[in-house]
Formats: sequence, C-alpha cells, structure tokens
Amino acid sequence: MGHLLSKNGYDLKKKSRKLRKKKKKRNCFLQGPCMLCFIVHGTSGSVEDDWPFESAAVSKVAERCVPLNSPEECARFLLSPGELAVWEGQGRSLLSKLIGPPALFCAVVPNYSEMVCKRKCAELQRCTPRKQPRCAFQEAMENGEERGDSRCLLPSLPSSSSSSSPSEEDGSGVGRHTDAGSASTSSSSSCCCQPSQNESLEETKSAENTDINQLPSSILLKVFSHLSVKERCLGASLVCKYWRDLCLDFQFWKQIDLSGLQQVKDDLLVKIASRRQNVTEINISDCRNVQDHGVCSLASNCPGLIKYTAYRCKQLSDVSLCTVAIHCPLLQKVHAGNQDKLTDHALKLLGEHCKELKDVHFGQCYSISDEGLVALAQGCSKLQRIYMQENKLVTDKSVQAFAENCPDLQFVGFMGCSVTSQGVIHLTRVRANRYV
Amino acid sequence: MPTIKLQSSDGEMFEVDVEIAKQSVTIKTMLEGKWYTGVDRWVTPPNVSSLICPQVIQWCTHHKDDPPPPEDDENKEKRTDDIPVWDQEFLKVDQGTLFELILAANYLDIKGLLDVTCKTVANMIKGKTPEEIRKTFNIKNDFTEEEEAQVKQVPFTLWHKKK
Repeated sequence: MGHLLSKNGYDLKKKSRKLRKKKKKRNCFLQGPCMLCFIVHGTSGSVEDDWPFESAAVSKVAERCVPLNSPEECARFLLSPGELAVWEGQGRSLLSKLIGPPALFCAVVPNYSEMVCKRKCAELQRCTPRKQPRCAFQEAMENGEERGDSRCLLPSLPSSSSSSSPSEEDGSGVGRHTDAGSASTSSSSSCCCQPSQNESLEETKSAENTDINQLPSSILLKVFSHLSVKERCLGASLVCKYWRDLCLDFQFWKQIDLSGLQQVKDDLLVKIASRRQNVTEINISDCRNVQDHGVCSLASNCPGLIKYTAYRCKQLSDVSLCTVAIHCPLLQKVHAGNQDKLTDHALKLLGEHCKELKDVHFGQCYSISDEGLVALAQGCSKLQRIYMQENKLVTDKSVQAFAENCPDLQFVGFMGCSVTSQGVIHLTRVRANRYV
Repeated sequence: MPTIKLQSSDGEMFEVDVEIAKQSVTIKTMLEGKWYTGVDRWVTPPNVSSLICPQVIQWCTHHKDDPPPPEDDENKEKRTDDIPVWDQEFLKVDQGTLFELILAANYLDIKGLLDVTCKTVANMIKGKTPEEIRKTFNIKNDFTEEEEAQVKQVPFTLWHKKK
C-alpha cells in the first residue's frame, strides 16, 4: 500500500483526484461526508446536501481552513512522500495518515460521531479505525474503486494477513473474516458513515459500553501474544469463534510441528503459506498425506525458514527440497532422512543457496552420492553436524570434502556408508572435530 | 513552553505540553509535518472522548521522562508481570475505559500505553477458564457443542510444542 502513495507525488495527486471524482458520484472511499472529503473537496459549494453542519460551523471552518480545491493544494497538506515514507516505515494505516494531518484543519463539528468512519455503529466489525495491514487496505481500496461501491472500506479490511478461520465456510459467528472481495461486505451495503436512523441509536448505545470484541483484531492479537501457548489453547481459543480464529492465527505459529499427523494435507500447508507468516521451523515428519505441492507452497512463502524436518516422507520428491533450498536462504537445519527420492540435485541447490546451513541429516536417502555431498560441502562452510546412514554411494571423497571445507564440524555420522579409515583420517585433521 | 491542544470527540479542548504530547508518534509526526502551519494548533484524534483524553494526557505526563520503549523483540518471551505499580493503579478502571484507552493509545500510537493496557487485558484472561473469560468480558458463546469439541481436539496436536 505504501507504494500507492509514498513514492510518487503523481500518485498522491491522482489519488486525490480520484477522491474528488468519487465525491461527485457520492462515492468517496470513505463513504460520504467525512473529514477527508471535507478537507479535500473544499468547504463551500461542493458540500453535500446532507452534510450535517450548520452554516455557521461551515463558515467558521472557512475562516480557519485553507480552501483545498485542487489536487495541488491537497498535496501540500497531505504528507509529503518523505513523511509518508516515515509513516510507512512504521506501518501506519492509511487512515491515520490521511486523517491525521487534515485533523488540524477540522471544523468544530456539532455531531462528531457522524463525521468520520465511526468505530461504534451497527456494523461494528466494519468500522474500526485501526491499523490495517497495508496489503489489505490497498486490496480493499482497489476493490472499492473497481466496484464503485459506496462502502466503507477503511475499517474492517479483513486482510490476507488477518486471521483466517480453519473452517472458512463457517462464516465465523461475528462475520469478521470476510475476504476483501467476499459477498458479505456487499450484503451490508449501508455503511456506518451514513447517519442512518437505527445505526446512530446503536452507536450512542455502544459508545457507552466498549466491548472487547470491538477492539481491532490487531489489538486482540497483541493481547493474545502475551498469553502462553497453553493459555491460548485451553482458555482463549474456547471462548468464542472469533477468539478461536485469532488464537489459531499463524502469527503464533512460528515453529510448526505437524509430525505424525495424517490429517495434515497440502491444503493446510497452503493455508499456512498464504498467511504469509514467517514460519521459522516446520516439521512434517511422517505426514504421509503431504505432497510436493504443499511443501513448495510453504517454502516459497516463508523465506525466513530456518529448520526443515521431514523424516520418512517418502512421497516427497526432489522438488520439495529444491524449492526449500531456493526460497529459504536462512536455512540452518535440514533433516530429510529416509526420503528415497532425494537426489544430488537438491543437495547442489542447497550448497548454492543456503550458506547458513549447519545441521543436515540425509540418512537412508539412497540416491544421494558423493557428487551432491561434495557440492554441499563446498557451498556450506558453516556445517557443524552431518548425518548420513546407509548411503552406499557416499565414499571417502565426501568426507574429505567436508573435512576440507567445513572448519566448524562437530559431528559426522557415516554409518553404513562406503567410507573407509582413510576418510576418518581426513576428519581427524579437522580441529573443531569433537565426535566421529 | 509550547503547547498543543487536543480536542476530544465531543468538542472539549485540552492543553498539553508539546514535549509530553510527542510521546504520541501520531502527534509527533504531525507536528513535524510541513503542512502544519497554524498558530493556534489543535489535534482532533477521532473517537477519543473528553473522558479519555485527560487520562491519556495524565499517563503521558507521568511517563514524560521515560526512556523510549525498546523495539518489540518477537523472540523474547512476553511478560505481563512487569507493569509498573503506578500504571497498575492508573489502570484500575472499568473495562469500557480500559478499552477506550487502548483505542486511544492505538490511534495516537503511544507504544508504552498500548503495551501496559494490552498486558492488563492479558492478565484479565490468564488463569481463567473459557466460561470465566466469557463472564469477565460479557462474550457470547457461539460455539455449537461439536465445534467446541473440535477446538479442544485438533488444535491440541497442532499447537507447537515450543515457545
């Protein structure tokens, strides 16, 4: 979203021009008279008929405010690209950026609650001025602009990075987890910004009792991050569906251990991947129903992966490990024992891309030979632990390569490989060697 | 000393030292913005009522000499037992006020206040059964029996063992 505004003055003007256009169609992305409309579109003449201000207030505004009738004037008063970059860097929401500065020029509004996209209204979930993940906001903006919808895009933005329920068809009791383009938002087309009869009543009512579930989901996630896994698991996730979905939010799952779970299939891995959470460890050992596709999805979306464990996943081919190698340069541990289909090709890629590799286990990967291991040794000088077992194609040559290229070696296992005492002699020459 | 006015959502004005107000990154950035030229300066954070505004100012005033809060270290274990005593007393308020403070701290981007308020809420959740949590926050249980059973089973095995 940042790039929408921050880098390019033109974009900034284009955007305010778009806003002005929308205003004429009564389609301001903030849905009707709001602070931004008010500031951007000027204080007189172009004010909407249903603008709730007294004329006195309007003229007072005119005194204090600079008339912003053109995109150029708007641009002066909106943040400069540099300032926007500062905001972007802090991950602030678009709303706070746009609303913030013009707030200084705001009128003394008789009924403030009707101005800005209100947080407390019937459509509770939709109108919270909260920090939205940028991608979600941009998505929604694009959607809104495409559709020409008069809906309040600001608030609820169920971003791709907000929680997604594992059972999406559920629709989730409180209807929060709608995707940007989903139907449920269009079903509630009357946005809170329109001072509608019933809503304003409920607004004032709920204004008095702020409910915990009215807090933005980002805040609830922050609260839950202070709980331990057990507390989330036994307490918070069982309170209501909304809390369940938040607790299952993968932001809490940097280290995912799915080992032995047969119900884990590619779709779960794809889901984890789509959350764009920076998973650091994944263990899919013994998950027979996971295929290359799932692993590749995960790997390509988790560049921060550090540990990959997949014992006995005989169904996986080279493709999985190759994709992991290519996309996860921070990889430190690869334990892929008992994967028959692994070949030297994957090892070569690991040697090329994963310079941080420290700990590898390729026991009983029968197709691996010296070629792959030598490439690995030459590429990964930080290797500390290497475990091979019954790899008949592995000979002293590999051992020598490790000895020569990996000064940090601590543990080497070559049981059942074609390694002779000659190889061992090479190793003993390695200084840091502690156990062979 | 230069001051700035905060206007609450219901129109009341509160004056506060610029230096104290700058604990709010939102305000700080606005003050540093080029477009900000007025002499009589005021800021209107939306949805911060006249009840909450002075409390926020009070918190900021008390914490004006605090060192800047450290960056969030995601790998560090998050604690909730380190809320300063003054803050604990300050936050002995009803839930509605607590949540309003959270929202104000969120909008105004006052990290310290947001942290202690979130920790306070976390402490209200800790150690309670789901039913007790629901009672505390007046949350409706929208699970069917089946769904509740599901949550109890599957995620148990999916919760990762570390952390």
